[in-house]
Amino acid sequence: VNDGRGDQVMRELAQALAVEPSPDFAARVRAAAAEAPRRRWLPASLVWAAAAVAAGVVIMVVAMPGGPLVLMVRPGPAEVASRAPVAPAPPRVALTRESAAAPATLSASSASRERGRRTPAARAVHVASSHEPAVLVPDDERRALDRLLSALASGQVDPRALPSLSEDPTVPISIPAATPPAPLAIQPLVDTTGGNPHDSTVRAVR
Amino acid sequence: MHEYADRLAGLLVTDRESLAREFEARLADSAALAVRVAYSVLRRREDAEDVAQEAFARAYRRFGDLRDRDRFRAWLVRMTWRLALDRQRSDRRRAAREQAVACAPVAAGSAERELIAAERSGRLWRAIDALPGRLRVVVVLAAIEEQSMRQVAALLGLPEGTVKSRLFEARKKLQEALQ
Repeated sequence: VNDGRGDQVMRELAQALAVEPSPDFAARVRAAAAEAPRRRWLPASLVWAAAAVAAGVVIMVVAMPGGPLVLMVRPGPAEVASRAPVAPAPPRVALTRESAAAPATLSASSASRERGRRTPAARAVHVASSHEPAVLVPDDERRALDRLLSALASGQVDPRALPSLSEDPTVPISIPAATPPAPLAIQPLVDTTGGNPHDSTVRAVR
Repeated sequence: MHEYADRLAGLLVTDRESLAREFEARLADSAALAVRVAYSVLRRREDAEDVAQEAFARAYRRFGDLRDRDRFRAWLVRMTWRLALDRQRSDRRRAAREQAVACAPVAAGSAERELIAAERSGRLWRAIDALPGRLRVVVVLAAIEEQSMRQVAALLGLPEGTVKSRLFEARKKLQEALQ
Protein backbone atom coordinates (compact mmCIF):
# COMPACT_ATOMS: atom_id res chain seq x y z
CA VAL A 1 0.00 0.00 0.00
CA ASN A 2 2.85 2.30 -0.77
CA ASP A 3 0.84 4.24 -3.28
CA GLY A 4 0.15 7.96 -3.02
CA ARG A 5 -3.15 7.46 -1.24
CA GLY A 6 -1.58 5.44 1.55
CA ASP A 7 1.22 7.92 1.96
CA GLN A 8 -1.29 10.75 2.13
CA VAL A 9 -3.14 8.99 4.94
CA MET A 10 0.07 8.56 6.83
CA ARG A 11 1.01 12.20 6.26
CA GLU A 12 -2.37 13.31 7.54
CA LEU A 13 -1.99 11.13 10.56
CA ALA A 14 1.50 12.42 11.23
CA GLN A 15 0.20 15.97 10.96
CA ALA A 16 -2.64 15.22 13.34
CA LEU A 17 -0.16 13.76 15.82
CA ALA A 18 2.28 16.65 15.58
CA VAL A 19 1.53 17.97 19.03
CA GLU A 20 4.38 19.33 21.10
CA PRO A 21 4.55 19.12 24.87
CA SER A 22 3.79 22.39 26.60
CA PRO A 23 6.79 24.36 27.87
CA ASP A 24 6.13 23.44 31.49
CA PHE A 25 5.82 19.72 30.75
CA ALA A 26 9.42 18.93 31.70
CA ALA A 27 9.08 20.88 34.95
CA ARG A 28 5.90 18.98 35.82
CA VAL A 29 7.62 15.66 35.13
CA ARG A 30 10.54 16.67 37.37
CA ALA A 31 8.15 17.61 40.15
CA ALA A 32 6.26 14.34 39.80
CA ALA A 33 9.52 12.39 39.78
CA ALA A 34 10.73 14.21 42.90
CA GLU A 35 7.52 13.27 44.70
CA ALA A 36 7.66 9.68 43.53
CA PRO A 37 9.28 7.29 46.01
CA ARG A 38 12.57 6.08 44.72
CA ARG A 39 12.00 2.38 44.70
CA ARG A 40 15.40 1.30 43.46
CA TRP A 41 18.24 3.47 42.30
CA LEU A 42 20.77 0.69 42.15
CA PRO A 43 20.77 -1.45 39.05
CA ALA A 44 19.71 -5.05 39.44
CA SER A 45 23.26 -6.26 38.76
CA LEU A 46 24.54 -4.46 41.88
CA VAL A 47 21.78 -5.98 43.99
CA TRP A 48 22.69 -9.44 42.75
CA ALA A 49 26.39 -8.80 43.40
CA ALA A 50 25.65 -7.73 46.98
CA ALA A 51 23.56 -10.86 47.52
CA ALA A 52 26.39 -13.03 46.18
CA VAL A 53 28.91 -11.40 48.52
CA ALA A 54 26.59 -11.93 51.50
CA ALA A 55 26.15 -15.59 50.55
CA GLY A 56 29.92 -15.98 50.27
CA VAL A 57 30.45 -14.55 53.74
CA VAL A 58 27.89 -16.95 55.18
CA ILE A 59 29.57 -19.91 53.46
CA MET A 60 32.99 -18.83 54.77
CA VAL A 61 31.71 -18.58 58.33
CA VAL A 62 30.07 -21.99 58.17
CA ALA A 63 33.08 -23.64 56.54
CA MET A 64 35.67 -22.26 58.98
CA PRO A 65 38.44 -24.75 59.91
CA GLY A 66 37.15 -25.07 63.44
CA GLY A 67 33.71 -26.08 62.26
CA PRO A 68 30.46 -24.65 63.47
CA LEU A 69 29.89 -23.92 67.14
CA VAL A 70 28.06 -26.62 69.06
CA LEU A 71 27.01 -26.94 72.66
CA MET A 72 28.49 -29.95 74.42
CA VAL A 73 27.90 -31.15 77.96
CA ARG A 74 30.43 -33.58 79.28
CA PRO A 75 31.45 -34.74 82.72
CA GLY A 76 34.70 -33.51 84.19
CA PRO A 77 36.72 -36.69 83.90
CA ALA A 78 36.11 -37.28 80.23
CA GLU A 79 38.16 -40.46 79.98
CA VAL A 80 36.65 -41.95 83.11
CA ALA A 81 35.94 -45.23 81.36
CA SER A 82 39.54 -45.87 80.40
CA ARG A 83 41.30 -44.70 83.52
CA ALA A 84 41.48 -45.54 87.13
CA PRO A 85 38.85 -44.05 89.38
CA VAL A 86 39.32 -40.33 89.83
CA ALA A 87 38.13 -37.80 92.31
CA PRO A 88 34.64 -36.47 91.70
CA ALA A 89 34.45 -33.20 89.84
CA PRO A 90 31.54 -31.02 88.79
CA PRO A 91 30.40 -31.46 85.21
CA ARG A 92 31.78 -28.98 82.75
CA VAL A 93 29.47 -27.25 80.36
CA ALA A 94 31.08 -25.32 77.57
CA LEU A 95 30.68 -24.18 74.04
CA THR A 96 33.30 -25.91 71.98
CA ARG A 97 34.18 -26.82 68.43
CA GLU A 98 32.97 -30.08 67.00
CA SER A 99 36.43 -31.14 65.92
CA ALA A 100 37.79 -30.57 69.44
CA ALA A 101 40.99 -29.15 68.00
CA ALA A 102 42.15 -27.91 71.40
CA PRO A 103 43.06 -30.63 73.86
CA ALA A 104 41.08 -30.96 77.03
CA THR A 105 44.03 -30.01 79.19
CA LEU A 106 46.68 -27.54 78.17
CA SER A 107 49.89 -26.59 79.87
CA ALA A 108 50.39 -22.94 80.69
CA SER A 109 52.73 -22.31 77.74
CA SER A 110 50.65 -24.20 75.22
CA ALA A 111 47.54 -22.51 76.54
CA SER A 112 49.09 -19.10 75.95
CA ARG A 113 50.15 -20.13 72.45
CA GLU A 114 46.66 -21.42 71.81
CA ARG A 115 45.17 -18.18 73.09
CA GLY A 116 47.32 -16.27 70.62
CA ARG A 117 46.00 -18.29 67.71
CA ARG A 118 42.36 -18.15 68.74
CA THR A 119 39.84 -16.37 66.65
CA PRO A 120 37.40 -14.02 68.42
CA ALA A 121 34.81 -16.78 68.34
CA ALA A 122 37.24 -19.24 69.88
CA ARG A 123 38.16 -16.72 72.57
CA ALA A 124 34.51 -16.37 73.42
CA VAL A 125 34.34 -20.16 73.68
CA HIS A 126 37.32 -20.18 76.01
CA VAL A 127 35.73 -17.56 78.24
CA ALA A 128 32.51 -19.53 78.32
CA SER A 129 34.31 -22.73 79.28
CA SER A 130 36.35 -21.09 82.06
CA HIS A 131 33.24 -19.83 83.78
CA GLU A 132 31.67 -23.32 83.89
CA PRO A 133 28.03 -22.28 84.02
CA ALA A 134 26.73 -25.25 85.99
CA VAL A 135 23.31 -23.71 85.94
CA LEU A 136 22.88 -25.15 82.47
CA VAL A 137 22.73 -28.68 83.97
CA PRO A 138 19.54 -29.54 85.79
CA ASP A 139 19.94 -30.06 89.50
CA ASP A 140 18.81 -33.68 89.57
CA GLU A 141 21.24 -34.60 86.80
CA ARG A 142 24.08 -32.94 88.69
CA ARG A 143 23.23 -34.90 91.82
CA ALA A 144 23.15 -38.13 89.82
CA LEU A 145 26.54 -37.39 88.31
CA ASP A 146 27.94 -36.60 91.76
CA ARG A 147 26.67 -39.93 93.09
CA LEU A 148 28.13 -41.78 90.12
CA LEU A 149 31.53 -40.16 90.49
CA SER A 150 31.56 -40.81 94.23
CA ALA A 151 30.80 -44.46 93.57
CA LEU A 152 33.60 -44.60 91.02
CA ALA A 153 36.03 -43.01 93.46
CA SER A 154 35.16 -45.40 96.24
CA GLY A 155 35.38 -48.43 93.97
CA GLN A 156 31.75 -49.37 94.34
CA VAL A 157 31.30 -49.13 90.56
CA ASP A 158 33.65 -50.73 88.08
CA PRO A 159 34.60 -48.06 85.49
CA ARG A 160 34.84 -50.72 82.81
CA ALA A 161 31.17 -51.43 83.21
CA LEU A 162 30.30 -47.89 82.12
CA PRO A 163 29.59 -47.07 78.47
CA SER A 164 32.58 -45.50 76.80
CA LEU A 165 32.06 -41.91 75.75
CA SER A 166 33.58 -40.43 72.65
CA GLU A 167 34.38 -36.77 71.91
CA ASP A 168 32.85 -37.20 68.50
CA PRO A 169 29.10 -36.60 68.85
CA THR A 170 28.41 -38.59 65.70
CA VAL A 171 29.76 -41.81 67.23
CA PRO A 172 26.94 -43.69 68.87
CA ILE A 173 27.30 -44.50 72.53
CA SER A 174 28.25 -48.12 72.99
CA ILE A 175 26.58 -49.70 75.96
CA PRO A 176 28.09 -53.01 77.04
CA ALA A 177 25.72 -55.90 77.07
CA ALA A 178 24.34 -56.70 80.47
CA THR A 179 26.07 -59.69 82.10
CA PRO A 180 23.43 -62.33 82.87
CA PRO A 181 23.56 -63.61 86.42
CA ALA A 182 24.72 -67.15 86.89
CA PRO A 183 21.85 -69.66 87.26
CA LEU A 184 20.96 -70.28 90.86
CA ALA A 185 21.52 -73.91 91.86
CA ILE A 186 19.87 -75.07 95.06
CA GLN A 187 21.64 -78.00 96.58
CA PRO A 188 19.87 -80.31 99.07
CA LEU A 189 20.99 -79.99 102.65
CA VAL A 190 23.60 -82.49 103.65
CA ASP A 191 23.38 -84.16 107.10
CA THR A 192 26.80 -83.96 108.64
CA THR A 193 25.86 -86.44 111.36
CA GLY A 194 25.15 -89.17 108.84
CA GLY A 195 21.51 -89.62 109.73
CA ASN A 196 18.33 -88.78 107.97
CA PRO A 197 17.84 -85.05 108.11
CA HIS A 198 14.20 -85.58 108.70
CA ASP A 199 15.07 -87.50 111.86
CA SER A 200 16.94 -84.67 113.43
CA THR A 201 13.90 -83.45 115.26
CA VAL A 202 13.28 -86.88 116.57
CA ARG A 203 16.86 -87.15 117.69
CA ALA A 204 16.72 -83.81 119.36
CA VAL A 205 13.61 -84.90 121.19
CA ARG A 206 15.38 -88.03 122.20
CA MET B 1 36.84 1.50 57.43
CA HIS B 2 35.56 5.08 57.29
CA GLU B 3 37.64 5.62 54.20
CA TYR B 4 35.93 2.74 52.41
CA ALA B 5 32.52 3.93 53.58
CA ASP B 6 33.24 7.45 52.33
CA ARG B 7 34.47 6.08 49.02
CA LEU B 8 31.37 3.91 48.65
CA ALA B 9 29.10 6.82 49.54
CA GLY B 10 30.92 8.94 46.99
CA LEU B 11 30.41 6.31 44.33
CA LEU B 12 26.72 6.09 45.15
CA VAL B 13 26.33 9.86 45.01
CA THR B 14 28.19 9.97 41.72
CA ASP B 15 26.02 7.18 40.39
CA ARG B 16 22.89 8.98 41.53
CA GLU B 17 24.00 12.21 39.90
CA SER B 18 24.81 10.46 36.67
CA LEU B 19 21.42 8.73 36.77
CA ALA B 20 19.71 12.08 37.26
CA ARG B 21 21.58 13.51 34.29
CA GLU B 22 20.66 10.51 32.16
CA PHE B 23 17.03 10.83 33.13
CA GLU B 24 17.06 14.48 32.10
CA ALA B 25 18.47 13.44 28.75
CA ARG B 26 15.76 10.79 28.31
CA LEU B 27 13.11 13.32 29.25
CA ALA B 28 14.30 15.79 26.63
CA ASP B 29 14.66 13.01 24.11
CA SER B 30 11.34 11.21 24.59
CA ALA B 31 8.87 13.79 25.89
CA ALA B 32 7.32 14.46 22.49
CA LEU B 33 7.11 10.75 21.72
CA ALA B 34 5.24 10.01 24.95
CA VAL B 35 2.88 12.95 24.57
CA ARG B 36 2.06 12.02 20.98
CA VAL B 37 1.44 8.39 21.83
CA ALA B 38 -0.96 9.47 24.55
CA TYR B 39 -2.53 12.06 22.27
CA SER B 40 -3.25 9.43 19.63
CA VAL B 41 -5.54 7.76 22.15
CA LEU B 42 -6.94 10.70 24.13
CA ARG B 43 -7.04 13.57 21.57
CA ARG B 44 -6.61 16.22 24.22
CA ARG B 45 -3.26 17.72 24.90
CA GLU B 46 -3.90 18.21 28.61
CA ASP B 47 -4.92 14.59 29.11
CA ALA B 48 -2.05 13.39 26.96
CA GLU B 49 0.44 15.37 29.03
CA ASP B 50 -1.02 14.05 32.26
CA VAL B 51 -0.64 10.49 31.05
CA ALA B 52 2.86 11.06 29.70
CA GLN B 53 3.84 12.67 32.98
CA GLU B 54 2.60 9.64 34.90
CA ALA B 55 4.54 7.34 32.59
CA PHE B 56 7.73 9.36 33.11
CA ALA B 57 7.25 9.30 36.89
CA ARG B 58 6.93 5.53 36.80
CA ALA B 59 9.98 5.28 34.59
CA TYR B 60 11.90 7.43 37.06
CA ARG B 61 11.09 5.04 39.90
CA ARG B 62 12.73 2.16 38.08
CA PHE B 63 15.27 4.09 36.08
CA GLY B 64 18.05 1.90 37.44
CA ASP B 65 16.77 -0.85 35.16
CA LEU B 66 15.99 1.45 32.23
CA ARG B 67 19.24 3.28 31.65
CA ASP B 68 19.60 2.00 28.13
CA ARG B 69 18.02 4.52 25.73
CA ASP B 70 16.25 2.02 23.46
CA ARG B 71 14.94 0.06 26.40
CA PHE B 72 13.75 3.23 28.10
CA ARG B 73 11.86 4.44 25.03
CA ALA B 74 10.27 1.05 24.41
CA TRP B 75 9.17 0.79 28.03
CA LEU B 76 7.91 4.39 27.99
CA VAL B 77 5.85 3.89 24.83
CA ARG B 78 4.20 0.73 26.12
CA MET B 79 3.49 2.27 29.52
CA THR B 80 2.10 5.45 27.99
CA TRP B 81 -0.10 3.49 25.62
CA ARG B 82 -1.47 1.36 28.44
CA LEU B 83 -2.08 4.34 30.74
CA ALA B 84 -3.79 6.24 27.94
CA LEU B 85 -6.11 3.32 27.21
CA ASP B 86 -6.91 3.02 30.91
CA ARG B 87 -7.68 6.69 31.08
CA GLN B 88 -9.78 6.56 27.95
CA ARG B 89 -11.87 3.77 29.43
CA SER B 90 -12.36 5.45 32.75
CA ASP B 91 -12.87 8.99 31.58
CA ARG B 92 -16.49 10.04 31.72
CA ARG B 93 -15.86 13.00 29.49
CA ARG B 94 -15.12 10.95 26.45
CA ALA B 95 -17.94 12.49 24.46
CA ALA B 96 -16.61 15.94 25.16
CA ARG B 97 -13.15 14.78 24.12
CA GLU B 98 -14.44 13.55 20.78
CA GLN B 99 -15.95 16.95 20.19
CA ALA B 100 -12.53 18.44 20.82
CA VAL B 101 -11.16 16.91 17.64
CA ALA B 102 -11.67 20.28 16.10
CA CYS B 103 -8.91 21.55 18.37
CA ALA B 104 -6.39 19.38 16.56
CA PRO B 105 -3.86 21.29 14.50
CA VAL B 106 -5.42 22.21 11.20
CA ALA B 107 -4.28 24.51 8.47
CA ALA B 108 -5.43 28.04 8.79
CA GLY B 109 -7.68 29.31 6.05
CA SER B 110 -11.20 30.09 5.25
CA ALA B 111 -14.08 28.85 7.41
CA GLU B 112 -15.06 26.39 4.69
CA ARG B 113 -11.56 24.96 4.50
CA GLU B 114 -11.43 24.69 8.27
CA LEU B 115 -14.73 22.89 8.28
CA ILE B 116 -13.54 20.45 5.62
CA ALA B 117 -10.31 19.87 7.46
CA ALA B 118 -12.10 19.30 10.76
CA GLU B 119 -14.45 16.86 9.11
CA ARG B 120 -11.60 15.01 7.49
CA SER B 121 -9.68 14.93 10.75
CA GLY B 122 -12.71 13.54 12.52
CA ARG B 123 -13.06 10.80 9.90
CA LEU B 124 -9.40 9.95 10.22
CA TRP B 125 -9.59 9.60 13.99
CA ARG B 126 -12.73 7.54 13.75
CA ALA B 127 -10.94 5.26 11.29
CA ILE B 128 -7.97 5.03 13.65
CA ASP B 129 -10.25 4.20 16.56
CA ALA B 130 -11.92 1.50 14.49
CA LEU B 131 -8.62 -0.32 14.03
CA PRO B 132 -7.80 -3.26 16.26
CA GLY B 133 -5.35 -2.33 19.00
CA ARG B 134 -2.49 -4.35 17.53
CA LEU B 135 -2.80 -2.39 14.27
CA ARG B 136 -3.53 0.97 15.83
CA VAL B 137 -0.35 1.20 17.90
CA VAL B 138 1.75 0.22 14.88
CA VAL B 139 0.27 2.81 12.56
CA VAL B 140 0.43 5.54 15.21
CA LEU B 141 4.07 4.87 15.98
CA ALA B 142 4.90 4.71 12.29
CA ALA B 143 3.22 8.07 11.79
CA ILE B 144 4.94 9.76 14.73
CA GLU B 145 8.08 11.35 13.43
CA GLU B 146 7.88 8.95 10.47
CA GLN B 147 9.77 6.28 12.33
CA SER B 148 11.29 3.39 10.43
CA MET B 149 10.02 -0.16 10.66
CA ARG B 150 13.10 -1.10 12.65
CA GLN B 151 12.45 1.63 15.20
CA VAL B 152 8.78 0.69 15.56
CA ALA B 153 9.74 -2.96 15.96
CA ALA B 154 12.23 -2.03 18.66
CA LEU B 155 9.69 0.11 20.49
CA LEU B 156 7.08 -2.64 20.49
CA GLY B 157 9.47 -5.53 21.02
CA LEU B 158 8.17 -7.23 17.88
CA PRO B 159 9.93 -8.72 14.86
CA GLU B 160 10.32 -6.28 12.01
CA GLY B 161 8.36 -8.54 9.63
CA THR B 162 5.40 -8.55 12.00
CA VAL B 163 5.43 -4.77 12.15
CA LYS B 164 5.56 -4.53 8.35
CA SER B 165 2.61 -6.83 7.85
CA ARG B 166 0.57 -5.06 10.53
CA LEU B 167 1.31 -1.66 9.05
CA PHE B 168 0.31 -2.88 5.60
CA GLU B 169 -2.98 -4.17 6.99
CA ALA B 170 -3.61 -1.00 8.96
CA ARG B 171 -3.02 1.30 6.00
CA LYS B 172 -5.30 -0.78 3.85
CA LYS B 173 -8.08 -0.55 6.41
CA LEU B 174 -7.57 3.19 6.78
CA GLN B 175 -7.80 3.74 3.05
CA GLU B 176 -11.00 1.76 2.89
CA ALA B 177 -12.49 3.72 5.75
CA LEU B 178 -11.53 7.10 4.31
CA GLN B 179 -12.75 6.45 0.76
